[in-house]
Amino acid sequence: MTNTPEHIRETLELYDRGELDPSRLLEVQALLRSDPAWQAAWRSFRSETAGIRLNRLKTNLSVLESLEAELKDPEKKTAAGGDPGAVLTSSPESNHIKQASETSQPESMEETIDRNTSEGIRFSRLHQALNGLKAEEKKTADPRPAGGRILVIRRIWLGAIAAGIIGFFLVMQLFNNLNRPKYINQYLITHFDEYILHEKSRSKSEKLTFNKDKEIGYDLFVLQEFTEALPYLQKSWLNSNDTLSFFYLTVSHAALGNNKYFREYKSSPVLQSQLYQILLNKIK
Amino acid sequence: MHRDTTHIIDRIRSGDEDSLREIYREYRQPFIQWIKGEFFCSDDDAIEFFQTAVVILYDNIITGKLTELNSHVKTYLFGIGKNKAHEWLRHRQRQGVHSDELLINYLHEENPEVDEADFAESLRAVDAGMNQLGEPCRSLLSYFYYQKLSMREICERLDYKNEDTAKNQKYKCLKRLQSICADIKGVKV
Repeated sequence: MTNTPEHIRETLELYDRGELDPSRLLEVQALLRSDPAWQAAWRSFRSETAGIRLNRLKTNLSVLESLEAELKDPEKKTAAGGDPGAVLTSSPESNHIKQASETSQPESMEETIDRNTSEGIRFSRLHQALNGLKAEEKKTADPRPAGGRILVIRRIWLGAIAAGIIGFFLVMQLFNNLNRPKYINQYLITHFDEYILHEKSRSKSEKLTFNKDKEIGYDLFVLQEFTEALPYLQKSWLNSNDTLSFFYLTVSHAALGNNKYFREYKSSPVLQSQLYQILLNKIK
Repeated sequence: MHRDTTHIIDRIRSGDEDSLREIYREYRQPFIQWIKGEFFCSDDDAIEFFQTAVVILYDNIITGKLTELNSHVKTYLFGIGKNKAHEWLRHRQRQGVHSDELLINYLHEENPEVDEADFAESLRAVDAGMNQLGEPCRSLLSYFYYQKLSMREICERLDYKNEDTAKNQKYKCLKRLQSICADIKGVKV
């Protein structure tokens, strides 16, 4: 096989497109494993094609950005038009409401119509059911022989007792569920205390600088309410660059069995200190 | 609205540009509300995540990674968005989310053996080079190297007389691109 740059390039193009015949494919694979010239050409080819791919993706991205601008445009017009609601949406807290209510105006109109229609259908169905129940009520109010009525009353009592027993077991089940540990990682069940670091390692002055998210996140973490702690710890990490929040976030994912995120976060440069790594490595 | 997912995949593959816009319009609002609730990010960041997710969905279809969907498009799209948001959280890029960076990270995942900074530099150079090339070179190279269309299909799309003409044109475009990229890298050094 000749090794001119043009030839290598042509062969790699065919290789990349899966158009090489099987014998040449094996030959090229061997060259890519052993020959530095082929390896360099392959790296360069990959970068080039990835760049072309990026360019295409960015073209699509710019199409979406234009669309986004189109979608946002009615918002501006509404705000400039003196909509009394615009005053309400000017505060940062109400940005979320503003986004939801204004950007999707045409869709929300459709939704309103759909909802009205569906609510009407629902009402009609309930009305029918109500009429059916009324008819049933009339039947039960009809005079019946005395023996029949006693039988009905007995059945009602038996039904009520059965419902009471079932209800009791359901409440017991619910109570058991509430007392069950809220995490599934076995190591953490017995060693959780080792992972509470803010009371051991941080000075009092640092505690005074707690922000609300951090405080709530830490408290929920200590209470082992991991699902609830996640958003607060995320927010604390993002807003105040608090490494311990990120550590707790990582442990929470481990506790909840989110192993993928646990592994990803664990490998983050932020958690490479010896203490964090020792603790995290203990969690299987 | 119920969406036939196979139909969407076919439309995107055949180059129907409206399909992406439709997906964007349909899932934009639910996605933004959902991702903001999950990650406490701003509206702008949520939009960047969403745009990146839609573009990655497109890429997965074009590169053949996604040939059929077992779940709804919405589930798939939200899954990509969630992964990108976690990635962002892990790197904690406080200056905000940038689709460009998310896309470069995404492409680097397939080439982990290359140094991330070098890879990003090469990609940016080729991207800038492609923009300088202009049409029809840009489309021609994209059809051949990214969408992996055959020369016959390229002839049909770009109105070339025959496959040899298209091949020659492709060769010239590639040489021009390589020369522009060398200039861009040279300027940077």
